[in-house]
This record gives sequence, structure tokens and C-alpha cells, in this order.
Amino acid sequence: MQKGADVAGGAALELRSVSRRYGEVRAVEDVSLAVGAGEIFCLLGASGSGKTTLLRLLAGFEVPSAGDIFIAGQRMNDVPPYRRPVNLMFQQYALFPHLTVAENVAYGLQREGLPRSEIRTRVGEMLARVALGGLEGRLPQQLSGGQQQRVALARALVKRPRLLLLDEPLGALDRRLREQTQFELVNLQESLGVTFLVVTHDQDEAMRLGSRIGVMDRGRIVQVGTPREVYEFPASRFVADFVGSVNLIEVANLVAGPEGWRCEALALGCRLRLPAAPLPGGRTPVAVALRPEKVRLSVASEGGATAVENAVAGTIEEIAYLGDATNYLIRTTTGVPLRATCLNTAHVAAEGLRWGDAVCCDWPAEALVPLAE
Amino acid sequence: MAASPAERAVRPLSSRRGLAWLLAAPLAWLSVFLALPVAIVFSISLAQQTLAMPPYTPILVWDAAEGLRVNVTLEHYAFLLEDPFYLEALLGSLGMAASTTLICLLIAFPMAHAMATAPARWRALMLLAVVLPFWTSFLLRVYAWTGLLAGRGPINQMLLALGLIDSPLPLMNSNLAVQIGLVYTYLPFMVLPLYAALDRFDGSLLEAAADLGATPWTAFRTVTLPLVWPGVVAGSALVFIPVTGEFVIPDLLGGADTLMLGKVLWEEFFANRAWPQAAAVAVCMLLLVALPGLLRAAWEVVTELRRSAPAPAAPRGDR
Repeated sequence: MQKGADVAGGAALELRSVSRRYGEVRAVEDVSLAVGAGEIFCLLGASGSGKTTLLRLLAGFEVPSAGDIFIAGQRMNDVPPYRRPVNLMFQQYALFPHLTVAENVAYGLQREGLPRSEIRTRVGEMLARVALGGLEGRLPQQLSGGQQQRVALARALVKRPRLLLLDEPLGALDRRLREQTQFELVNLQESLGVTFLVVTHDQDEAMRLGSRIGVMDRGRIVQVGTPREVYEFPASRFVADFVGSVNLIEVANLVAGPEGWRCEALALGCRLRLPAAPLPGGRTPVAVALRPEKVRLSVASEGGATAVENAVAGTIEEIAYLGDATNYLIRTTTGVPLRATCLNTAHVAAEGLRWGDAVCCDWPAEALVPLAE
Repeated sequence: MAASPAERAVRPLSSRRGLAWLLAAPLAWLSVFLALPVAIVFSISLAQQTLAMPPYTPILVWDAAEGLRVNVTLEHYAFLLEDPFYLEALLGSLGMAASTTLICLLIAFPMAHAMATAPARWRALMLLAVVLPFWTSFLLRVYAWTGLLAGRGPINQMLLALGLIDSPLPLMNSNLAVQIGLVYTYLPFMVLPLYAALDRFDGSLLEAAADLGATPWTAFRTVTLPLVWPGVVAGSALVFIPVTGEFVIPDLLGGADTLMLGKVLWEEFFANRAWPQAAAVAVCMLLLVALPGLLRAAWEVVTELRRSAPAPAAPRGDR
């Protein structure tokens, strides 16, 4: 093992141009990433985006075709999984079916050759921590899904790894249990100070858990940022579309002005004013992203002018009432659909807007995110 | 998992009656084709040798003067202990069965592992290759080995041609030939249960073990082996038990120094016509082979009872 000379002291994990190819297939392509100690970093991507391969590269079950992996400053490329200071919580938990809960959790400590009394204490502490006290003697198949998930977590955490890898940690739980477990997971992470790297295809899970999110597409990390950055300032049409719901509007005839860009959205038949945020590489926007909840709906006044910028007229085509919010699909005058979400802040029985109502949609210039790709 | 006594009690009576009917067929089969023959053999072993056909005296005699008389003797069992020949044959058989089981296990485990981890499209072909020998006569295949192992057989010819030996090795009619024949014949019986166990084995458990710091050997010892153990036990039983009583292979491939129970049994029955003595050998053999299995079954019942007893008191959890 060689010491990574210029790895930042706080980096629990650093990837430098890591690639993994299977023949012509590029599962992971030129990924560079640094994750700080104590972070919860979420890798978010669709299935086949390479996020699981990346996780397996970190755990040591795959060897990179190119690039270097550093964990806590140590180069890990040639280190077998059983010598890495990393533990993985498997998607289907992979609990040993022939061992009891306590034996499952003790397994990793026994491999370290620790004295029996210390193993017993640490296993007991960890099981109490994940609220599994009293179930030590059960076999995995005698546990519920949520209990199995906690055994898997305890088994991985009891080794006190520098970095815990979690593969879809909440994927196998039902909705109600997921929300509860999400908070437990974050609390546990904060109290133990372990760095978490979570792989998920579920953007909700990534937003709730992650201190930062890395969005993966076709083997590459296409954007890294806090949940807010990724949602409010997506770097590309792919990210904007993948994270949350969005209206993607193609733009043309850009004119740079002192207070931002002015351009035309031909499909919507309206003119747009964009904020003056500079794009990377000095590129010009080809499209803008507009989140549905940023769109303001109002009943169209008779013969109301729609000539103002950042506004478009249309009729309501679909209404989805969700309780806390209502989603509308508006057919604009040019026939292009526009999505709008309104929070139901007023406690009223009557519906404000109905199917077929003529409405006027408008949005502030800051709500538009210029996209260069 | 096993149902707790409370769950068992709520099962409707009709399904229990159905279960009884379901069990009746195999029970009838077992009593006609297993219990009855064993009972007959046991009764012969208690009879006395005589020059007649069949060559033993009846054990129940009706006498007008004395009424029903039981005419049994334990002399054949006593003789088994008196003559060291039988003990030697027993030890020979057990030794041969043990070595065959061990060699089969060592060969079959990598084979079954390769089959279980092979791409799905190859598996059917590999399984077929294991089962294929069953499609030809067992006797024919053992005879084939007499040719292969003969002084001028292909194995000796090849070794001579390679210059590894100067004169043909006396392979035939030896314990080595018997061992080769036994391993060859019984290997599939070891491969199939091991394959079934390894096929069910979840490979991600080995990754979990490695992730928790287990070297490949430790992972094999602590995860693979305990989980495929039922397959190891089944395969070993399928090899060990029939090899203990094997007659054809030692007869065809073995020599003067090959001493095995099956052969002894055959000679007592057919060469010496000592049916009661042969029956005593058979009963002892059956006990020796069946006893470990019976003890194990009894032990399992005891542990199961012990495990299920405190179950209702255990916390129910959030299931």
C-alpha cells in the first residue's frame, strides 16, 4: 500500500478517474469524487447507471480498469475486500441464515480475533443501539423486514468502519417503515460519525438522507451538489428531469442584456427573461428548467394580455389533488403541456380551479434555470 | 419454521385426517417391502442350521404333546464375535466405505461447485454428464474397469509408453482396483446432493463474509460449509451405506485380500448355504448402518422439542 500524498486530510474517500469496463461496456467511466469524513453522500441514478458497480469497486468486489481509489488516504486498488476499512450493507441484507442475530453481528469482530468478552460487549451495545435488544437468539428468517434491515446495519457498523457503503438501504421496506428508518439512519450516522455512501435510485431517499448527492448517468457522475443545489440548479436537462418533476422549455434567439438573457420559447409561444447566472464554459442556454411549484396560476381575465414576459395562457386539462398540494396539467394556447403545482394552504371546501378553466400561468425570472445541455 | 404448539392446535381436524391417509400409502409400502423382509431375515438368523431346503429349522414348531414351541438360538450371533474373520470383514467394509466417501467428497465438491456456479446454459449439459453413466448397465461399467486395469490394459500400456514404469503394474484384483471402482460408481451419488445444496447457496453471503473480514478459506469454513452441510451428509450417506454392503465391485475387481461384508454375506448364503449365519451378518450390518441415522433422528427430535418448548414465552417482536 502506498500513502496518498496529496489526499486531503478530511477525505474519507477519494476516486481519481476511476473506470470499470467490461469489454466494450463502460459501467463506470472516468469518475472522480471526494467524500469528506462524516458526510452522507448519495449516489443517485437509474438502474444501469453504474452506481452499483461503483459501490462494488469501493467494497473491493470489482477491480477498476483505470484510475485509483483512496479510502482514508490509503490506495485500495489491490486490497482484497476482507482487508478494506469499509463495510457494505447489502441490498437484500445477505444475513447468514444459519447464525443468530448476535452471531451475525459478532461475525466481523470474530474475524478480527478480538477477545470474546469484548465481542460480547460491542455486539450488545450495537444491538441496543438499533433497538434489537432481546432478539439476540433469533434466526434471520424469524425477523420482520425492518428487523432484518437493522441487523444488517448493526453487522456492518459494529466493525467501526471508516466508510459504510449502503446499497439501497431502504429499498426492501414498505413506505411507512422507510420514513421512520430514514431518520433513524441519519441519527445513527450523526452519533457514530461514520461516513455513509448511499446508493439509491429513489430521489426522495437521496434528498432526505444525503448531505450531498451525486447524480449518475451512463457510468458518469453528471452533477454533484447538496440536495438543494441539485434540485434548484440542475446542471443539465437529464438532472433536471431525473430529480423531481420539471417543465423543460427549449429556447432560441437569445439576447444578452444587463439584467439577464432575453429569449423566445417557440413551443410555448412566449418570451422569457432569464437570470444572469453565467453558465460553465461561458456557454449559452439551449433550454430552461421550470419547476411546477414555481408556476403561479390565476384565472384569466377577459381579454387579458399575455404579451408580458414569463407568462402563458392555457386551459386546465388535468387535476390531481394530493391533499397537501394539487398538480395541474395546463394545455397552453400552442398546444404544449405545462405542469403546475399549487400548495393547498387555504382550508376551503370549494375547488378554486376546475377542468377546462382558462388560466394564466406566470413565473418569476429567477425560477427559470438556464441549461447549457 | 416449525409451528409452535399453539399454532398446531388450531389446525382443523379434517386436515389431520387427510394427513393420516396421505401417510398410509408410504407406510403400507414400507411395511410390505422393508419391515416384512427384515423380519423374515431376522427370524432366519435365530433359526438353526440344518441340511434341508430351506437350510434352517422353523422357529415356531407345533407339537401335539407340548403345544407351540419356540425354537430359537443366538449361536450365530455368538459366532460372529468368536470368529475374528467377521470383525475383519466388518472393518474392511467400514474402512473401504470411509475412504470411498472421503475421496468422493473431495472430487465431488469442486465438481458440484463448478456446476452450481456455471452459466445456466451449461448446467443442464453438466448435470446430464453426471447422470449419463446411469443409462448404461452398472455391471457393464464395472466390467469395463477390469479391461482398463488389466495387465495389458490401456492404463498400463500408457504408463509403459511414457516410460514411467518398466513392467505392467498389478492393478487388477487388488484393493486399489476396488477403491477405483467404488469411487467411479458412487461419485454421482455424492455430486447430485452437493450440487442441489450449492445451487441453493446464495453467493452474496460469501461477499458479505469477505466484507466483514473473512478470508476466502474462512468464509468457506464458516459460511459455505455449514449451509451446504445437509448436502454433504446426504451425499455421504448415499455413498457410505451402500458401499458398506457392496458385493459386485469387490467380487469383480478385488483379490484374495479384499475382505468386505457384502462378499462374506454372499459366500455364506450361496457358497456355504449357511442361511442363519448369513442372516445374522445381514442383521448386524443393518443395525450398524441404520443405527447412526436412527440416533441422529432421535437427537433431532429431542432438540426440536427443546427448542419449541420455550417459544411461546419468547417476545413476539413487531412481526
